[in-house]
Amino acid sequence: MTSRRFHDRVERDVPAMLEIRGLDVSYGAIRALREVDLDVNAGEIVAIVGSNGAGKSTLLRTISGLVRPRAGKIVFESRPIVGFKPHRIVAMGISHVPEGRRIFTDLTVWENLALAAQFRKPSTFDQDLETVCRWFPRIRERLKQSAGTLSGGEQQMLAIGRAIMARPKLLLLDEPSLGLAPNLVKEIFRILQDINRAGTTVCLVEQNAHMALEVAHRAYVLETGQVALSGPGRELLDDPRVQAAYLGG
Amino acid sequence: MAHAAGLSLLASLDFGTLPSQVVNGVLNGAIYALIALGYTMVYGVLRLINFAHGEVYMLGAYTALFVSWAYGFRPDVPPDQLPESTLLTLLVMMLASMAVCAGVGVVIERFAYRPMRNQARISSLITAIGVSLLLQYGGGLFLPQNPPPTMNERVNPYRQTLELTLVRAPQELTTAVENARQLAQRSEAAFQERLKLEKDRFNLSPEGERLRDAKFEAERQLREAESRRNTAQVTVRVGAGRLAILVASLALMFLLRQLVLFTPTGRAMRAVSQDFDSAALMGVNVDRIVTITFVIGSALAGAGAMMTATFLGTSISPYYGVLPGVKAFVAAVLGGIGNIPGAVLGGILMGVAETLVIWAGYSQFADAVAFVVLIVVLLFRPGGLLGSSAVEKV
Amino acid sequence: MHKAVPIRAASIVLGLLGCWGLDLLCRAFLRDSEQRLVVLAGLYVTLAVSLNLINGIAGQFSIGHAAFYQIGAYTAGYLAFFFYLQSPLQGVGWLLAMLALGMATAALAGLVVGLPSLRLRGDYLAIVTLGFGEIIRIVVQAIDLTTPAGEQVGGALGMSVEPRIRIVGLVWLFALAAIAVSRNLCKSSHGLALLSIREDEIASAAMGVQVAKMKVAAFMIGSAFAGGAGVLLAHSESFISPSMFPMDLSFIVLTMVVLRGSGAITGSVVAALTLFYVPEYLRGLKAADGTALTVTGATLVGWILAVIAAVVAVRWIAYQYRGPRKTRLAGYAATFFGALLVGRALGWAFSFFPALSGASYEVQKLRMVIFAASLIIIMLLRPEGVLGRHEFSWDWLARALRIRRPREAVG
Repeated sequence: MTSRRFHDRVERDVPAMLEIRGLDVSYGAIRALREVDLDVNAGEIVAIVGSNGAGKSTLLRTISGLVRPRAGKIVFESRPIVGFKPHRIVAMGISHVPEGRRIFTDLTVWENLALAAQFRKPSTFDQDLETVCRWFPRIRERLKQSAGTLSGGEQQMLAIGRAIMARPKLLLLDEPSLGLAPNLVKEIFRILQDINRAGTTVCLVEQNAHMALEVAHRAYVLETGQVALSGPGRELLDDPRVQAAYLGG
Repeated sequence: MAHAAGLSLLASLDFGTLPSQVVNGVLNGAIYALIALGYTMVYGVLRLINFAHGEVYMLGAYTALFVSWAYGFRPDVPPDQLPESTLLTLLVMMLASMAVCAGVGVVIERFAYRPMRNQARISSLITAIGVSLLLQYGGGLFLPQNPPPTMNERVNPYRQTLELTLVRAPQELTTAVENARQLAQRSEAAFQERLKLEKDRFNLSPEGERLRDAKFEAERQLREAESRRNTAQVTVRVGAGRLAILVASLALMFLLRQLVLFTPTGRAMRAVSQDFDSAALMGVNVDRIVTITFVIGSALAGAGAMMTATFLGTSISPYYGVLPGVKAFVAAVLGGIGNIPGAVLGGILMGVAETLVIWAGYSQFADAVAFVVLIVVLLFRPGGLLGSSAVEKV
Repeated sequence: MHKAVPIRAASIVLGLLGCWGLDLLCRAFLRDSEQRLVVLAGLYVTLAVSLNLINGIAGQFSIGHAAFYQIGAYTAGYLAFFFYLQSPLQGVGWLLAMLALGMATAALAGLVVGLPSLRLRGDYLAIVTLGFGEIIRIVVQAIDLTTPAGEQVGGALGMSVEPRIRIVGLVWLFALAAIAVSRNLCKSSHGLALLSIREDEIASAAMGVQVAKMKVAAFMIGSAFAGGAGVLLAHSESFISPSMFPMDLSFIVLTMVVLRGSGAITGSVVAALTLFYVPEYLRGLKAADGTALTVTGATLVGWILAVIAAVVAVRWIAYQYRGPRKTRLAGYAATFFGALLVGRALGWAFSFFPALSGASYEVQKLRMVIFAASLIIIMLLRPEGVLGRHEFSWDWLARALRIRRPREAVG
């Protein structure tokens, strides 16, 4: 299988930034993930594609500590992080943009951004705010507005900007294209690539497999909780199985 | 028939005291608001009806009582040997109540609610009911039962009634009252004079009957003149203690507002109450925020308990918190649960509604009015007065 | 379907015979005060099963069930007060008529409370039901009827209800009726509709379930049975007062419903019986010399600490320990016996502190504390309910007794 060969190559290199081995997650009797092995190397964009209910979101939620796995290990920068509370994991440098954006609509845009940076000492808030506003100029115009008044695209930008405020080394994104117009999707992915080039590792989960595989250095295909395929993004894009199942051709 | 009953009810009301009643209602409502804040804040972050909140309030009242005993305001001390009650005494009592309540709230959250957080919501609700019953019955076992209500009489330095005339009656009405009073006094004197001449008090002579009727007529006119004047003039009478409660409550609520709106912790509290998971993903230590919420909510209840116990003199028992607790919760729902200004509004509305029902002469229904108002409001605004009408599944 | 008919008929006959037998047994062997407990237990079962219908099966969160109980009781009380003497119906006939009227009144009240449930959900509905319960209690407390003879009836002091009729069999027959109605409702298409409302109201509305009608119907049926229980209570006790229907009663009944698994009827019955009898058992505890049983502060503190330690240990085994099932079970057993030992030992150790060994507490006064503490402990250890979703059925009984059902004979 592609996946086996692929891991061999990775394990000979320097240790991956994020290393997941034998991850099992279940909700009651339902097993959401089984025996998942996954690596994210520093500087990469890694895409995880798969159909509805394949366990993609569960995978991200487990990495960021919202869900406790039943078995398996997650190692981030050679420290095991299973069992850590989400806020500690954020502090270690993993930020997670949840599915459906979930910004705080009752707070202003500025407060949304401030929240993510407020627990870091010494405060680098002004610098970080400047960075976010550089990536997303539209946010700057709306700082004083209530976040609930933003459009869908702006909300997604705020969600990503909010995650960046925490100065992540690894940015996890859950369905950043969900419910957005095609040109907005393109813009978001362009910005994600820029953020990646500026030094942040990105791991994103997508149903829009085409878009994700195009920008990703490497990708995993998740099927019913298991890794079915993995390899460089371009390669998977051409893989007949992936084309049949996810790209509609 | 009903119409006539309504009219006679209206006629029997003393509208001159209405402003006082409204003001006193607001003052009563301040306490409900303080307790309701605790309910609403906890509900906001955990979506849990903290049934034990009323019992935290009860423990606050006991703490205040014990501190006052430690200060020497014991029931067995003769009144002339009591120490001086100063603002400092009261402040220490209040801080002690707040501290103890905060501690109890944190312990309850940590050991009863936190383990239930990932379970069905009804499980946490049953746990909350269990904690409430445990504190009530445990209190019944270990705390002094119905200690003599010494708190108010002995500790409270603010016992006088303040009177403030907002609108004076027109001069002619005041003069009319004065004239009527003189007339009444004269006819009373005349009647008493005549009475000395009468042989049989119960069987008056025609002259005696005439003077008696004149006296009754003069008294009736005096009452009418007074009622006309009272309706035209607006006087507010409040106990100084109640006013102290209002001032302290407003100060605490203002502090809370500043905290919630303008500090990082407050921002995190608002974030957690909107989206638990998302807040955690932003690096907010959710457990810490929940703890802080319980600290603040319980401390406010403690302050309220200390003030009612000291200034209003309700006698303290292990069941002291049940009714205020339920009513404050109703107030929180009335304003829109989870909504902080809503809790204050709901508490004050409840206080006013209750006072007015008592004023109208239906004191036996005073405890029910809270619920009637609640049901009526919820039928028209299912999310409460200031709440969003988001529906939820238990 | 037709194979169920003989079983159903047999169940009905068995139920009738069982209640009759219970009645005979009680009359033969139990003192009056003990019969009263059997009656109250039956009433609690009725209350729990009827609340289960509203709360567990239809998913409407009601925490004011005592109100309907009270409505039934006072319907019987007031009617008996004004009309019993002139009534052509006497004795049991009157009781049955009252049962029907009490159920009707309570059902009407259920309609009144059920209607807001169409607009409100979750906690908001809960607080409305709680409020309704309090309104009923306060109004009943405020109604002071004065007879021409100047006698006071009702109000806070309560009133006596004539005639006093205590029939254990009838009470339990009524409980069985509540169970049968719940069970059959569950199995029917209406029951499926209710369950679907509990799971997802919008989806079930989209599937064509008449959500509004079903919700109100569940409320009315549940309330009617609670009202009937109230009638039976009034005539069995021959005295009612508002303090017999406090908020705590609603909470206790709610607890009986939650301690079973979600929506399970069998669980409701078992939980109701347990929660009713344990405090009664504690109330009846006597020391060897016949005086009230007491414990010293030392013993009490010792046991409290041991129980806390045991709860922590069990939770650790259940949620943190990842070893094999056998070790886990052994751990539970070890915790249980360890706690017994530790409780004893601590009690002994603390008895050297005069402050603790000096204080003494009557066990029967502790019973509500024990009740509340066990509630918390059960929720901490088994939040999904003690009995889960298992339901009693004849099949299950047959399997348990290893009787193979002769299928040919039925088919």
